[in-house]
Amino acid sequence: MTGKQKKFLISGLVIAAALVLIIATGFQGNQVFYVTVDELYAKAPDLYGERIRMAGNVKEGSIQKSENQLFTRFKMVQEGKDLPIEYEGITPDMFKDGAEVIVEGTYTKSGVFKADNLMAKCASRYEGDVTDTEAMGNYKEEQGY
Amino acid sequence: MATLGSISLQVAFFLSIAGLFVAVYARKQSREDLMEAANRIVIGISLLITVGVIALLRELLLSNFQIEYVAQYTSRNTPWNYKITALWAGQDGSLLFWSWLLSIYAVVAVIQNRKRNLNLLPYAIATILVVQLFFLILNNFIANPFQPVPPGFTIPDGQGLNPQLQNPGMMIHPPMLYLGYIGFTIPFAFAMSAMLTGKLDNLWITSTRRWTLFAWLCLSIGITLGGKWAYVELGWGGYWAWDPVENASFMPWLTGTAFLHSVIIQEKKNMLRVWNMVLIMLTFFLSIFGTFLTRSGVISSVHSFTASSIGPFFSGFLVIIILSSIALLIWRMDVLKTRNQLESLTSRESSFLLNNLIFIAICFSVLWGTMFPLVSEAVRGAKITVGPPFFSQVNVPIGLLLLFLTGVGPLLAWRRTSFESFKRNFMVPVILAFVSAPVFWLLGVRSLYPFVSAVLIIFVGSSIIQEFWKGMTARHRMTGENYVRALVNMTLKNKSRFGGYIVHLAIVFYFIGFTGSAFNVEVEKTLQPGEALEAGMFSFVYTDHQQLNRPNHVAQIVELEILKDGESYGKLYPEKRMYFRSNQPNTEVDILQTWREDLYATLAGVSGENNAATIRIFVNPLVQWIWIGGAILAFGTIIAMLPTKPRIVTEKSK
Repeated sequence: MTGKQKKFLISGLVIAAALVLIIATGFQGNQVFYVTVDELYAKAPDLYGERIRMAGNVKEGSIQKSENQLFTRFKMVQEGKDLPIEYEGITPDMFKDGAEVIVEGTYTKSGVFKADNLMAKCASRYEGDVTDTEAMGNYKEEQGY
Repeated sequence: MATLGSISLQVAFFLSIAGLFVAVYARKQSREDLMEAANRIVIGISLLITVGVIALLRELLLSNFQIEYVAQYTSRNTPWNYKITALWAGQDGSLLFWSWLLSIYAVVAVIQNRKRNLNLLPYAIATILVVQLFFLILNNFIANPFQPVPPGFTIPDGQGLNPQLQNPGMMIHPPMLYLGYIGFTIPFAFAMSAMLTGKLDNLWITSTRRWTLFAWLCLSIGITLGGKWAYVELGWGGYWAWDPVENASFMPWLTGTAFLHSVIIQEKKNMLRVWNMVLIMLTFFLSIFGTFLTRSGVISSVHSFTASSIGPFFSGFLVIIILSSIALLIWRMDVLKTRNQLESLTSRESSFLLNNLIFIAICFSVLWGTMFPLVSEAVRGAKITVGPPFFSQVNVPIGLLLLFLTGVGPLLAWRRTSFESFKRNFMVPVILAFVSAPVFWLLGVRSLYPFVSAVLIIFVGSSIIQEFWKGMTARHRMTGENYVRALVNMTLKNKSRFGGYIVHLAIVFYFIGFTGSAFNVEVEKTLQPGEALEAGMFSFVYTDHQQLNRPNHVAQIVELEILKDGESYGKLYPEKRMYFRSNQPNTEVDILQTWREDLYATLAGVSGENNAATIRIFVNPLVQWIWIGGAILAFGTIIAMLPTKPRIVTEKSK
C-alpha cells in the first residue's frame, strides 16, 4: 500500500468513525419504549420515568376535557385492558371515541399515564365522512371490520 | 367495464411472462426480430394495463358501489376530481397505478432505445418485466381493485374520501412520489442489463442519465409537496415529523442523490464503477421498500395502512432484489474494478466521495431509526422506538457538513487543487462568511447549529453566485453579449453543470428554511373576546367570533387581529368545523405568509357563554424559503435535463 493510499484510508476511516459515533450517540437518551398495557403493568416499577410510547383505542365515553379544552383525560383500551391517560395540549381532529391513538409520555406512580404527545390514526384508512356513512357503517360492522 | 378491466390485467400478467422469455431468448440468440417482438409486447402490456386503469376510473366516476374499492374510497357526492384521485387513495388502486406508470415508463424507454441501444435493451426489458410481473401478481391475485362487494350486500352510497385528503396538494403529491419511485426502475434495469451482458462501460449510465434526473426531480417535488400538505392541512405547525412513511420517501432520495453525483466521477474519471452499481441497486431497493413501508403497516405510523396481506409478497420480492444484485456484483466484480486511483485529498473526486459517504450515513441513520423497533424487538425482545429527537440530533450536524461540501466541492479542481486556485476560488466566499458571522451573532443567532448553518448559508450561497458571476462576466468579455444574455447562454452551453448549481442554490434555500425552524415560537392560550395572546414580536387579539352553517358542516370561525409594534399587521381566520354525518371535527389552519415568517393559527375550540376561544399560534420564521427552494430545484433540474444537441460537433472541433 502506498503512502497516498494510506492517507486516504486513514482519513476515510476517521470520517466514517465520526459518522458512526454521531449516529450511536443519537440513541442515547432518545429511546422510547414501546409497550402494551399488559407489559406496562407487569414491569411498572422499572418503567417509572422512562419515556414510553403506547397504542390503543379511546374507550367509548371516557373523554373528559377541561373547560378551556387544553387538558384532556381519557382511558385507552388495549385488548380489554384500560389505562387512564392525562394529556396537556390541543387534541388532534381524529381524536374521538373509539379512535386508534398513539400516546407518548411517562407512567407515574399514581397509575396515570401522563402523555405529552398524542397522535390519532389519520387519513389513510378513510373512515367515511361528510356523506351517507350509515349504510357503509352497517356494512362494516357486519364484515367485522 | 369491471370485467373488462379484470380480464385485461390477467392478460397483461400472462403477456409479461411471455415478454420476459422472448426478451431473454432474443438477446441470447441475437435475433433482432424477436427483440422487436419483445418491444411490442411491452407496448401491449402497457395498453392492457391502461384499459384496466380506465375501467377502474370509469367505475369510480360512475360510482359503481358494487365494487368494494369504489365503495370504500368514494361516495356519490365526492367531487369528480377527487373521484379520480381515489385511484391512488387506497392500497389496491395505488398498486394498479404503480403498475400502470411502470408500464408507461417501459414504453418510453423502449421507444428511446430500440434503435440506438440494441445491446442493452433486451435484458433491460427483461428486468423491467420482472418488476412489472411482481406488481401484476399483486394487481391480479392479492390486491385486486375490481373485487366486488361480498354477495348479499347492496351499498346505496360509498364511504367517501377523507376530507383531509381532499386537498389539491394531495392530488399531486402521491403521483409525484410514485413517478419518482418507479422512475428509478429504468436506470436499475439498464444497470442490471449491463451486468448481465458484461457491457460495463459508461453506456448504461449515459443512456439513463435523464431518467435518473427525472425520477429524482419527481421524488424531490413529491417530498416537498408532502411537507407542504402536512403543513397547511394537519395543523401541528410543522412540515416534517420523521414519520416512517416520510422516511420511506427520503431514503431513496438520499441514495439517488449520491448516485447522481458519483456517476459524474465515473463519466469523467472512470472510477467508482462498483460503487455506482451498488448505489443504483440500493436506490431501486429503497424505492420498492418505500412502497412496501407505506402500504404494509409493518412499522406503526400515523399514516400507514393497517396490516395487510401484501407484506409477505413484498418481503419476498425485496429478498429477490438483494440476492440477485449481490450475486451479479460478485460475478462481475473483476470486470467492474478499475485501476484508477484518487490522487489528492483536495480534489473534486475526493469531495464527491465524501459527499457519497455522508449521503449514505444519513440514509443509514434514517433506515436504522425507522427499523429500530423491529430490530430491537428481534434482538432484545423489547420494542424500542426513536422519535424525531434522534433524527434531528444525528442529521443536523451531518446535514451541515453536507451543506459545507455543497459549497466546497464544485470549487475544487479535478485531480488536485493548487494553492493558487484555492485562493482564487475561496477568497470571496470565505471573506463573506467571516463578515457575516458577527452580524448573525448580533442578530441573536447564537446557539451552535443555527449559527453554523447561517454562516454556511452565506459561504455556500456566495460561492454558487460567484460561479455564475465568473462565467457571466467572462462570456460578456469574450462575446460582447449583454449580461443577461451572457448568463442565459452560458447556462445553456453547460446545462448539467449550471443546472446542478441552480439545484445547489435551491438546497441553500431549503437550509434557510430549516434554520428558521430553530426560532419557531408556539403559544397556546384560551382567550376571552378582546383578549390578546403574545407570540414573538406579535400579538394576536381575539376580535370576533362567527358560527356559520354550511351544507355539510358547521364552522366556528374566529377573527384574530395581528398587531406588530402596536400597528395592525393583518388578520387571521382559523376555523373549527364539525361535519354532521361523521361527527368529525376538522381544523382549518389560517396562515399569513411572508418571506420573513409564517404566522400560523389554529383553533382548538370555542366554549362557554362568552365564546372563549382556545387558540394555538405558531410563529415560524423563513418557512416560505423551503417552498421557493422547491421551485428553484425543479427549475435547475429541468435545465440539467434539457437535451444537448450540437455538442458532438463542437467537441470534436475543439
